[in-house]
Amino acid sequence: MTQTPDPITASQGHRLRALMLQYGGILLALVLLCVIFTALNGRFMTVANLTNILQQVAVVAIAAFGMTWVILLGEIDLSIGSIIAVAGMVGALALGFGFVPALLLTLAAGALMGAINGVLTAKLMLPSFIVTVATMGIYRGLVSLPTNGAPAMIADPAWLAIGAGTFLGLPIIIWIVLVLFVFNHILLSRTTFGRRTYLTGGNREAALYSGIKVDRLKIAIFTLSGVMAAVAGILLSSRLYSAQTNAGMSYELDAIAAAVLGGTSLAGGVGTMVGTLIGALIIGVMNNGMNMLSVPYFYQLIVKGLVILIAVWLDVRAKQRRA
Amino acid sequence: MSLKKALSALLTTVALSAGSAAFAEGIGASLLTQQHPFYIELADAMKAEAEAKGVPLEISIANQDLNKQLADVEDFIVKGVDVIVISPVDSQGAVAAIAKAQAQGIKVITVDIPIANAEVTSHIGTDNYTGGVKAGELMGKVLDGKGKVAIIDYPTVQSVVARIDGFKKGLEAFPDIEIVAQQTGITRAEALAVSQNMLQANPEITGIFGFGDDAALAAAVAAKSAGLQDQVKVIGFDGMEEARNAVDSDPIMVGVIQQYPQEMGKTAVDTAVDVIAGKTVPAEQPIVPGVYVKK
Repeated sequence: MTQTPDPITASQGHRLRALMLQYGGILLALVLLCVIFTALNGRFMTVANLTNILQQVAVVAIAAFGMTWVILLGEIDLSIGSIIAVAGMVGALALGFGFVPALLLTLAAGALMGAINGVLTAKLMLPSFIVTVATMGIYRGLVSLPTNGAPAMIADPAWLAIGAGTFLGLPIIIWIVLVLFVFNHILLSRTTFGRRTYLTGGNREAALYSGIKVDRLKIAIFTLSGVMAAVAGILLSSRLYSAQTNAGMSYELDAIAAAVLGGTSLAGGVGTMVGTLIGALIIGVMNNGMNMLSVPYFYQLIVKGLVILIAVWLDVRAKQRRA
Repeated sequence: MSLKKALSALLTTVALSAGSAAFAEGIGASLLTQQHPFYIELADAMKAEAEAKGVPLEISIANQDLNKQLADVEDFIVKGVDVIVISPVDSQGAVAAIAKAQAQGIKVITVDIPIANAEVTSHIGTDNYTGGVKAGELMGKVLDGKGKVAIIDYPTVQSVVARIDGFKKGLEAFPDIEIVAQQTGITRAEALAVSQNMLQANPEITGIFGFGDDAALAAAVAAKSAGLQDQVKVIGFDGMEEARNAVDSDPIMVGVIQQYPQEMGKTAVDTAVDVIAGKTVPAEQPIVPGVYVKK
């Protein structure tokens, strides 16, 4: 099992060095991309565009925070794109009861869908890949039932403010990403819950012998992933003024890419929220940067795939050198 | 170059470019897909016309994803385009993207699909109602003014509803033609199933109108497999190459209403150029479709 540097015990100077050691490869990739895009288009490095990128990457970043937990356990959640869509639809329909009830109902729906994934995986001992492929279809089907596939429009000013409003000069949507990043980062790096997740993902047997209730942990983490996807769904429906039944289609793959780009191991036990945030930023910077350079859409797909391969290779190589 | 140096270079650039004002960059076009022949022809026509007029044009493909369309439009806004041409992924949901552009003072033109709940500078799209009337008149003619007709529709799409309304209007001139069935078949597979069901329930059907090429081509297959190829005549709408070839070679396919994506793309770019020049443009620019029959 690869050791993760412990930021708590490190002194300030060491902490920066530890950060550079851990994220150097992936940070370098992000900086390189920014340098290239800045050199090619003067408008890339503007405050307006950087805010733009952060807003555009918010949905995937938050979904990726949840995905990171699941991957840390050595599991996978392919249903989050569908959960994003269901959450938007639940929110749009529940807004009839008012803003706060709609918010709570949406988060509860996300938790429920995540918990179902967790229970099926933990209690029925089914592989999470299969469970979440199945629930991906089930949730995607459910979202279309209330409106027969049509979008549900949203007019509630409070709901729309989530995606369009600003607080202290920064878009609210960016604040939400920051708050959830700090929340997930602390939960993962400074609590028993986080340590148990690392231990279980790294060595399930050892975790069982040390008395960790692996089943409960699994259900809790899938539930957390569902809640994160629900928040992502709220942001997306707010940005789009509507709940679209095909919303979030294949976003689970972007979330996995963000986590893996950030150094999360698909085998479990290795990964951090900082890495995932950087990974999500790389995806956002690429999408936006290539748009700014007017790269034709089909070439964008090819370049994105290649950049993911190169970035992960850089990171793996950097870690091997250190070892 | 060390990371620190690279970072400080970046920060300097941020500081320098933060204040730079937007300047003219031409047209940004956000099209909903590049996987349908109609949109490929539309995009090609726009590129050709932009080149002829010497105006910069950039095309983003939303790939049927409203969130990508919004991001594409946001990127156009940052780049400082003068006019945005958009074919909405969703005629209601795209209002978010359009509102953002208009808030920055950028004029918006919709092409092919109108926006339901916002005002745009101009809309360029097929005159679906007139096309439907032409389909009805053609049906009346090929059936010699009598018979039983079935319709394959797609009721949640406004442009299709207009086609069906027009078709019924065109048939009013033929009182001996009766519409005996109207069912929904959105994809080719669904259209095939509903055509088979309708022919099963009403074997005396002599004409079928499909709201699109796919629906019409599926209806022709259904008529053949029911052994009714000598009795049933099918008319479609869209007029892409596959359907035109079917009209030429398949006796069941008697005609197709042909949309003109080339003209639509050319008009969109011409309108955008006029808007940049400060001219007033018509709010609605319907493109009347043609009738394609056997050569």
